Amino acid sequence: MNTPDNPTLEATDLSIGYSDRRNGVTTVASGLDLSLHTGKFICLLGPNGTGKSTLIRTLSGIQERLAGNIFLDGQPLEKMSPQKRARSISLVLTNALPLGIFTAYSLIALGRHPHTHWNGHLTERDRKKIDWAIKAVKAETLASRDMSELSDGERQKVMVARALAQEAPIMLLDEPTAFLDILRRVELMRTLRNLAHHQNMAVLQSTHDLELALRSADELWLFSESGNIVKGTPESLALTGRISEVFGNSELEWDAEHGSFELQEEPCRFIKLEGKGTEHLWTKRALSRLGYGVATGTQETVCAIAVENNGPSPVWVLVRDNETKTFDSLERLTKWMETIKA
Amino acid sequence: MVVLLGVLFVANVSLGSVMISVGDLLGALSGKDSVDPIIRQIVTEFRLPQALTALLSGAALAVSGLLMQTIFRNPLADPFVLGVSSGASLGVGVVLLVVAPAGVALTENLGLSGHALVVFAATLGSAAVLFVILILARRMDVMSLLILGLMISYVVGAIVSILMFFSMPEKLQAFLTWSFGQFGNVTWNQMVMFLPVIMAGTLSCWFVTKPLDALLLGEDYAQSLGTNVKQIRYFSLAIASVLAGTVTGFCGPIGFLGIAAPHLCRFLFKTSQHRLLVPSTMVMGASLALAADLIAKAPGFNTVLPLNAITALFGAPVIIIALVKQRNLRHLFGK
Repeated sequence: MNTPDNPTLEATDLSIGYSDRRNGVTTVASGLDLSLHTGKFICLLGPNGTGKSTLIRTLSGIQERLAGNIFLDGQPLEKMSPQKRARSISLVLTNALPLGIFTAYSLIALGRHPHTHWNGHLTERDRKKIDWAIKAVKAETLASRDMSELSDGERQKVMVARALAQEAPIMLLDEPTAFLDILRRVELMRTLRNLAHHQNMAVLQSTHDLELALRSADELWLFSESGNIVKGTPESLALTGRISEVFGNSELEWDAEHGSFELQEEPCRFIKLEGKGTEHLWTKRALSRLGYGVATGTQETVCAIAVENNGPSPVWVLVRDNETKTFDSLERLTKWMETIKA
Repeated sequence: MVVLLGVLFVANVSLGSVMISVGDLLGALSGKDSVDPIIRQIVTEFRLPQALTALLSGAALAVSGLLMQTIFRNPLADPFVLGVSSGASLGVGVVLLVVAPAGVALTENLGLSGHALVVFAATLGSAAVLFVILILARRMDVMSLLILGLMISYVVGAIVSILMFFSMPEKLQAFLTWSFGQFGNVTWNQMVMFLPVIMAGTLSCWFVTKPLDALLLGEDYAQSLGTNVKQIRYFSLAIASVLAGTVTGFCGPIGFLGIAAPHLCRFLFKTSQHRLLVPSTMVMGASLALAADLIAKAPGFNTVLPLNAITALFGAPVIIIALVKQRNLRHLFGK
């Protein structure tokens, strides 16, 4: 087992990017010092176009690095045979559908390639490993089905199982949740974290899902537009405001209290809001969506709303020009607010 | 399927403008004296090499079609997609339409080897195109290569039509006959060349079934599975082109088998795994070629139909039916 002092995959002074004959060298980022450890689930976050995919591809060895070193268990990655590399690093990409007719099982079986002989014959051990991978992502019901029949979420599950069947201690994933709905995303994230923790794997995933990453990752790598990577635990990065430095701009404001970005729009009208608890929070959000701010002191207010959640169900009491209205749901309240807005 | 192949092979040998009973056939082969020497000569000198050529060509074209479809990730790819057959037709065109009129005496004095010259020219032509493609394959991505192949075909086709426009009618006839395609051209002497090349080419495909499976996932995934993508691509292109080029050189451009056989096998076996597809595609291709040749020989009639027309005429509907049943190709080849 590796200790944190002995990283599984380590990059020093790494430069990533593209080089081709006509355009010369395009450097995406340089001077990166990174390390992946077993038992850790890391999320790589960053705005579009910062080079998350390039980094994942470079670390996995399918794209050449421009400069610097990548070591796999202390050995230079580029000196390894492709087969040995494939036994150590597995890869999952965004929503790639394979060509041809594959059942989920036969697709997952492709993950055994680095372990099988020249003709790809599966031994008993290979089959056991495949069954284990299917179980690990809870894809038992999918195994016999055709890949073309599966939904995006199911397909991505199968692709993760395929990577697992590869039996590599390191798994790199490039936006595996990009096309999934929120439930599927939560499920996949949890699976990946469990794999890192319980199977002692090193898992690195690039994602756009900041909130989920904050909740599930052991470590965040923030890829800034300037080509730097800021590393740290999610909580400390949130507290110190590094997240807002990387992602924030004039229109988005980092809400450290809720761990998310808020659309920043200066409200021009204000409402006096009383109450507490969840109902108060969501009423505030609903009003903010309609363009009202909550009055904090001296502002002139359009009306006053009191959330009363002492009874069996919450009630919204609205006072406007000495007229009192009562709403039994937030929906009714916002509908009415929309009518006075016009 | 193998049984079907056997039946077709026997049928191909025994049926033709002269019908030969199975008894006579066995007799001719085992060297019994009771068999008419003419029948024996027909069997050994004509029918047998022709059937063997059909079998080998069918297998070769089919398996190279499979390689091309996988490498180019395209259901429409066939052995000729890289312009190999155009190269061959340019070679033949140059020999028949330019060299022959200029040095008629030369070819006619050589007698039988006039035909050997055509084979040589076709092989040279396809080898030239193959050479260009393989040099470019090192630095181009798969999509550009596909387009390049198409462009080569257009340019070469244009040159051939210019040649045809300025050539003598009787030479034109010879060129057309070649372009109809036929399996009856390969003599035993030429089989010594033909057989080893085809055997080596088709058998070497068995060694790349595993990396070809990986390539179905896309080049990135294949690479991450430890596949040397460039090497496999290069190897497969070379094999497919050599097979297609050789068959075209000896038998003329025979369309459709290469595209049809892999699709039929995928449809029949409901799989894309090359471990199954490579052998089954070969058997399928060989069967299709024997069947097409049988129809082209028009048993009972005293004529021979153009083979190329037969493969398309009977092959296309089969593919259409297979596709309609499969609902659509996008299932097979992604988005």
